[in-house]
Amino acid sequence: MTKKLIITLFIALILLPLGLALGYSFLYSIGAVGLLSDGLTLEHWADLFRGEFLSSILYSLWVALASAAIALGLALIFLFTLRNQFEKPGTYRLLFLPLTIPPIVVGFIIFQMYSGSGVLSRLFYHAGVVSGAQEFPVLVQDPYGIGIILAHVFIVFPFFLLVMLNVYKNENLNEIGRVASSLGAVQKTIIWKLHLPILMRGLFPLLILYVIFFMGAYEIPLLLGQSSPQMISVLILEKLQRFNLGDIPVAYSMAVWYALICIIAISFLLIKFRKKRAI
Amino acid sequence: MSRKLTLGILWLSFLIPFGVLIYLSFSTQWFYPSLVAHPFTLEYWHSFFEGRSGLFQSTGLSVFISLTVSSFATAGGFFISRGIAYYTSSRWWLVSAYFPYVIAPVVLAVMLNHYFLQIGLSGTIVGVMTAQLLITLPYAVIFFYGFWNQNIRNFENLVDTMGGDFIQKMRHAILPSAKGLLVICFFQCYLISWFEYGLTQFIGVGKVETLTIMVYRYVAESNPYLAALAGTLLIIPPIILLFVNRKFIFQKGWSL
Amino acid sequence: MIEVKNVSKSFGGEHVLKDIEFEHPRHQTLSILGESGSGKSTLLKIIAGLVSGYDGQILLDGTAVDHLKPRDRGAVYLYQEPLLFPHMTVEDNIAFGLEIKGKSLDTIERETERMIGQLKLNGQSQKYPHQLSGGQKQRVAFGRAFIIHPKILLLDEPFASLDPGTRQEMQVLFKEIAEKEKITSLFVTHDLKEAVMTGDRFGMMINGKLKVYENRDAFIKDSGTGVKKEIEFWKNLK
Repeated sequence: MTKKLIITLFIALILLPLGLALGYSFLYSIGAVGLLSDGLTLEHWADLFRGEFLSSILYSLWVALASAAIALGLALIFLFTLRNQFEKPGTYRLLFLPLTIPPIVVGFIIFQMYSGSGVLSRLFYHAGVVSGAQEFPVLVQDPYGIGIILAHVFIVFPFFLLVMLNVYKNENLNEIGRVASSLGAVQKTIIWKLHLPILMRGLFPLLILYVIFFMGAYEIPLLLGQSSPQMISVLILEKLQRFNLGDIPVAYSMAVWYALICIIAISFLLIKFRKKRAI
Repeated sequence: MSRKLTLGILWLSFLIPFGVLIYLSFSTQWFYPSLVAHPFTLEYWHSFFEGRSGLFQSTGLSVFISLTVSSFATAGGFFISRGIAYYTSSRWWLVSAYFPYVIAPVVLAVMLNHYFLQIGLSGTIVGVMTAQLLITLPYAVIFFYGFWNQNIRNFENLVDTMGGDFIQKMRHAILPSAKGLLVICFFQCYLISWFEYGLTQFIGVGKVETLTIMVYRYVAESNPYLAALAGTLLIIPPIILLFVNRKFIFQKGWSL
Repeated sequence: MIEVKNVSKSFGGEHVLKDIEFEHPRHQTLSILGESGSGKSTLLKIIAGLVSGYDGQILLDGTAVDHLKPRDRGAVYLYQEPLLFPHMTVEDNIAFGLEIKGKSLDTIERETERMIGQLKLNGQSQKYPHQLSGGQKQRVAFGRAFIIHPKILLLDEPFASLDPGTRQEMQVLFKEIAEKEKITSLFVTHDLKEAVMTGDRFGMMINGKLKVYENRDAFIKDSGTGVKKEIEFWKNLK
């Protein structure tokens, strides 16, 4: 295995496809190639800041931030209230369960659970809370992305908790708490001044990474999102596959910019946090 | 008491979704507001095992695609990461391996589709496997990068100076230390491929009918019962892996 | 016999080895004393072929080896860690080199048994590395290298991770077997006593430069080696 062969393989199999993908999409987005191309233009980039594309970006950002924040908050609450419980093998293993479900199936299950005719609505009906499916609050395919956020939280909250439990153990937070306590610190101070900063230092890169992943989520918003506004990936695909041919360059602009944001964000994370491990 | 209640709610919130999924796969009708499906039947499972629903073929195809993709990704990632770790000094080589992996697979598929159409891979099994390799291979490179530490290098050097060739280095110095990681990487790549929907749908243009494709198709056809059956089939391998070894499921591979 | 002619090496503009020149006859040990970062490990790695891009020439038994790959040089490099193959028994670890060389099964069995006896590892031959103590592991590592009678054995602080008692025991054992097996070796260490114990000839490495002494007396006499100081210290200790 010579150096040249390996480097060539790396470039050919990993960097070249990405470069080609970005290159073609970039050319399409500035009108250099494409079916209806009228020559070079930045008009399609400008379109990103208008109409449904802008609302899609804002909507994706909202869903991503809300999902990450709720998952983080829940994980922290469970960590500080029930940490001892997760030392039992059965309960600890339980946290891995949501990681075994593919996103498309999570989307399907959340729909079956929280839609107007879903399991929760049936339970509420029999409890006398609602008198029919139409009275049940709209939790999926709703304007606020509640269903999507629920699905994201279902998958990621246990993952965050697992990571936190690892950090808690590896960073000896229990001992640190004891030392602080012997120095006179109260529980509130220990949590806010010691445990939280140490946990967040380890979790921050992971959190940003998941915001990026959530922004690009496809399967779950496809099943649980409403028709407008849509999450970025869903909108890009819809614009490419249906309706107006004139939307294709804007879809490519969106793809290029989304990909560049991902690349810049991960580069920043890897360079900035090179000496710290997230997990 | 409130702690037990909270824990109970957590257990239920994780287990009920599984229950609903499996329960639905044994139903053919479940009208609102009934809490129990009528009739409770094995009909869809029978049709699955008899190969009538197309799901049997989809399961076989999914297994084939995931096994092939994870084999190539694991083997390729193993050797490529060795080269990157040994022969390059700039950190950007490793950082660039993250790029295809962090971009949403479906967006990557959109951006690459032109080339897949040009070389006739669109709508083919080989095309789907190639596309899936474009995300699993970088993942495997990242996964193995940390393995090539000074200790492994010293081992390799020792075999080298004793007159061993590359095969002997692999057999005696590398594989005995790497085999655990190879298995974990293989299953994690298997799951990435097994869970994949967007990229498979876009590059396969619906012709490559993996299990995830079937879930969405049944949902679109308003047949939640068959969708649940396909979903149940999808969660069986990861559940088995979870009970064999948690590391197969928990992806720790972020070498930040 | 090894001949090192005007070998120099730089890393990023820093001269790690400066015009190293010496000859070392067969069946003897040259102990090289030097502090961390003095360049002694780099010298061994260059001889083994593990570091490339150096100036000068290296000859093993009269043949220039500069263009040869590590596996073709006949110079075995031993690290501080024993690096035993975890999936092999003691016997298989020791036999490894002979198997690589394609020796007959008879030869392999006979030689391995003989080496196990020399290393005083009788009764341990079927054990795996994780069942051995630190000293036993290092003995197996030695046996694995001795058995193939390399043109030169390069030892890079092989006892550094052992406790003082085991370390001394291993120094004696190394000397004993190296003489019996007629091994030609370069032994680098930062431990003065270890250098004196293990060598037939001696070297002192300071800032990338090597000075070689033909015998123990010459090594002790030179005040630059620090041996004299050490002896004085122990004499004056009340």
